Amino acid sequence: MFLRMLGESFVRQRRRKLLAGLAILLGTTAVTAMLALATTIGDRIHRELAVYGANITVYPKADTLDVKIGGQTLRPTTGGVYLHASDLEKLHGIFWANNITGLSPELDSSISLGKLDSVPPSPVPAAGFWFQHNFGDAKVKLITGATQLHPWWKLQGSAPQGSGQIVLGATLAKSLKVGIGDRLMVLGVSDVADPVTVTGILTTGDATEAKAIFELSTLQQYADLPDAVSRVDVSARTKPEDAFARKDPDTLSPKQRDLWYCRPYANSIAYQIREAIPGAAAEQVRQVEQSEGTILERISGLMWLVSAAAMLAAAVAVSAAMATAVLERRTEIGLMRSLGASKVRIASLFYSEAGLLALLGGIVGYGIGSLLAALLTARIFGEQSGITLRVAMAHAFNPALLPVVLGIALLVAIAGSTASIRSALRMDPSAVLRNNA
Amino acid sequence: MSTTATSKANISLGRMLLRSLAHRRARSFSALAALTVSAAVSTALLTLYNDLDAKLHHEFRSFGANVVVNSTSVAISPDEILQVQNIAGTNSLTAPIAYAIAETDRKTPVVVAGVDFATMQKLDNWWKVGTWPGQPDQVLLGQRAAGFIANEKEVTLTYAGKALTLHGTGRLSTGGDEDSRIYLPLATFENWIGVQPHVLEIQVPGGAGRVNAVLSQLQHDLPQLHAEPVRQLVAGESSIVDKTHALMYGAVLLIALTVAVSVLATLSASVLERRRDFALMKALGASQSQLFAHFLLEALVLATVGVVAGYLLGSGLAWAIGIANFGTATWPKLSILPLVLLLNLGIAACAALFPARVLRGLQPAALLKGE
Amino acid sequence: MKMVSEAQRQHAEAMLEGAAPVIELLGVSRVYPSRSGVVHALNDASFTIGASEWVAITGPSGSGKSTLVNLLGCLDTPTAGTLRIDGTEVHTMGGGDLDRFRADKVGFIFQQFHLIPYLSALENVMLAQYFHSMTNESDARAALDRVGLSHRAEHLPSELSGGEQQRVCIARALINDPPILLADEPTGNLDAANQRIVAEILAELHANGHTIVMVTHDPEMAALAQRKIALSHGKVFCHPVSNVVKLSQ
Repeated sequence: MFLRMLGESFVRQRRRKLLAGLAILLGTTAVTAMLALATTIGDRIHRELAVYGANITVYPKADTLDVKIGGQTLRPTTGGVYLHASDLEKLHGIFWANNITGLSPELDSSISLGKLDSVPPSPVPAAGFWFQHNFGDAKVKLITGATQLHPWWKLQGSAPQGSGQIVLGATLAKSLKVGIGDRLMVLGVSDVADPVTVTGILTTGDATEAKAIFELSTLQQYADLPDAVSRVDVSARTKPEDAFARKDPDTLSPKQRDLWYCRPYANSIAYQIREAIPGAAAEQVRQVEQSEGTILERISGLMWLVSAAAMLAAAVAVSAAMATAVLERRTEIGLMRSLGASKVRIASLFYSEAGLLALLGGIVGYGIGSLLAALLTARIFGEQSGITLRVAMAHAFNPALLPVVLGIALLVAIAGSTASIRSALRMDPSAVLRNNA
Repeated sequence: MSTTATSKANISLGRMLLRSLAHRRARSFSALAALTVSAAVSTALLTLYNDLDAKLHHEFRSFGANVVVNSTSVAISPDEILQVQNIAGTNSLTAPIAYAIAETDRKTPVVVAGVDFATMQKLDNWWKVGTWPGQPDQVLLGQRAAGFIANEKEVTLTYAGKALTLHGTGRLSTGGDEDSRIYLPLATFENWIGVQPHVLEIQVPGGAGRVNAVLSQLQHDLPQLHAEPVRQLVAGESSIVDKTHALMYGAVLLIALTVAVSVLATLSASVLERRRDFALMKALGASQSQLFAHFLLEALVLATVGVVAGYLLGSGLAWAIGIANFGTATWPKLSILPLVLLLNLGIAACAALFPARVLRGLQPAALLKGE
Repeated sequence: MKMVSEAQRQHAEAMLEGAAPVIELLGVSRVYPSRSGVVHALNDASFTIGASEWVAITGPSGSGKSTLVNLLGCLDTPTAGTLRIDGTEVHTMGGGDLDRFRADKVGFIFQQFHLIPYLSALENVMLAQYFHSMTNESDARAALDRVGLSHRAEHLPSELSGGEQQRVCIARALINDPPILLADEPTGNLDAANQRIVAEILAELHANGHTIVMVTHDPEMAALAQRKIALSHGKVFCHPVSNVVKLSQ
């Protein structure tokens, strides 16, 4: 009988602890997961927004004006100024170099193209791009190019790799009546004919469909424009624009200017690009940048507010559980009071129990919540965004969140048990004992 | 005395319930608070979740036109424009645009575009413009184009020998092709060049589904026009809305689960705490179903009160989040109420029945002895 | 299972010749599963209790008293043997029937009183009516009157003394006129004065023809009963009918 009673009481005691612990565990799990999601959502959505292409364009400070309607150049510019592809390496040196997530230089030109056996080749617009270009340096790995900056492009077949390979825009391929694997003759500026193989057909939904696409260096060779680039599309992680971002840095005081310079606004990154590349003009693409900013702000705002809701829910859940745990132990409190324990001692005992529970529940909840957030991220954003489960798991634990989450758990557990501890201490110990004898 | 007492003393399930709830005030309150929060959080999240797609799609309007209609032959007639507007729907925006190539006062060829500025202002709100032109002789100069103009106040443009002098109101900067253009009012453009608009930029709200429906309708009704989606916008919108939607779904489930388990725990404890009451009623001849009914009813009463309070609170919360984050209110949705009610009643029922099951296995006599 | 010995049976029957048995146990056992095999909480118990008898069940802790109270109070069913209460074979009954039967046949008196704290004395009595059939206030008042508490009917248990609470508990046990009163340590929580009052009430009930089964540690209380049934390690030892002590009348 005694053993049964002992066992029973042990089981009951464990259940009480378990209840409060479970509430803390679940609360911290939810809060950790939500905070982990909220802190990384900006990055994730930015990656998703990459679908809109570059948010900064770099072009040579022109002495001619583009005459383009609907992406189609109506009057080819002659004697244009070009940027130097070799200058792009300088982008590694700018303050926000690590925020550059994609880079796609483009060379616009025209070449003559025809079938091997047919009439003289006719001139067609041509564009040279990077494809899967390694733009990393010692610190970061970055494989980038036209397909990364234009995710909406549909490339049938494979990208051109070096000379002898060409990709045709869909409308061009149609008018030439050639398909993948066919061979064509390219006539460059230097009048050297070169046979090339069609490796792919590109659908873009815009004027690029009428162009012949080459690897950048190949076109530079054919067009006899060594190192030349007409424009560069840059995708960068930026901070949404605010009033300060719209300031002209040259009118700011040196201190303010430094502040402006050291914030990842599209404007300041563009400014740094202008500084780094001689003869370049860099502008934020307002359609992408402004609108992305809004969307990013809304979605991360939403996640933060939902996190706050989670926090509220967790706080109430934990408080309720802690209150329950204390209420159930009124007898114990009464007994301790009758044995002469001071209120302070009893309170400190209960508070330390609550704190211990909060720490334990908080640590486990942090672990589970982090994993859950990683799982959710991997599942939602998936492999096509480069977030495999393995990658997500590797970045699951954000050490900065641990103290935050533990602090919240401690605070809530202690605050939640305060009311019930106080009311339990106020009660007449003998009445409590008699009632529960 | 007996008559007054008769009306006072009466035992019924409901009466006992109320007394019991009032007696265990602290406990009832914490259970009620837990249920209220549970209902409030689920209401707020479900309301937001319900409204999320509309809200996000609304945000995506800031990207501007997602469908471009070109005339394959000549200009688009006003009749056709009207038809396109009808197909695109009432809350869409349609901007007719006419393009031509003119020469600036420095003899540089430049693209001039005739537009309705009021529509463009709404459609392309990323355009950074000093002052929007209001007069028929006022123009907007792209910031790159402005570099090729001698006098920005008195812009003289020539098209096919016809010169026209207009007043620039300010520069336009977008970071795109627009920077190299000069925009003037459509009516002025038509009088000067004699060309009707041949491009329609349309913003169709509501995501890929709507856009595709509008596209196929356009192709069917107006085959002479060539309609194309702005692919990156349409694809991007769907992908982001879907992913945010999924994320919210995960968040809602996670939070609902947390709250549910906590409520379950709190309520269960409140039932378990009264195992002696349970044993007593059993000894007095109460049947298992009567006891279940008692605990169940208690939980359901709490849950219902909690849902009513929580629904109000949660709707308020959703409204506040809508205002704070999206700038537009998220109105309470009655259609959510049944779901929230069901959810909370379910939690409450589980919380009542689970411990009652546990209690069935206990020895009433042992409990009554206080062991 | 061991057969009930003929001698035991004859002894039990002979003892109560004339009086109709209200409770009959024949080879009743209650076995609990435990980690180390099984626990024989009650082992092959056989005895009868006649109508209007006052029986005390005694024994040290762990002797199986609680198990026996559970069985007699229809809160539990035996794992073996025959248990007949008021002529009905209880051991074959299912849960629902058993609840019904218990409400009809057994009135409980507890050591801890077990009054619902938020119901008045009167309402606590009526609670038993509620679970039994219909509430009837005048009957409930009459029951309180019987234990001398009609003036405290509207008070909450917290406003009553221990003795008064136990009297409410007795009134509640009586309210449905059960053939058996099952008192589990009825005076265990009371002082001497209140113990006397409760003992007087029990004696009066006995005199009025109620069957009382009383579990007690207290030899003084046990001495009031007509007969003692002693329990030890799950075994029953019946004492012969003792000389009846009547406190009242």
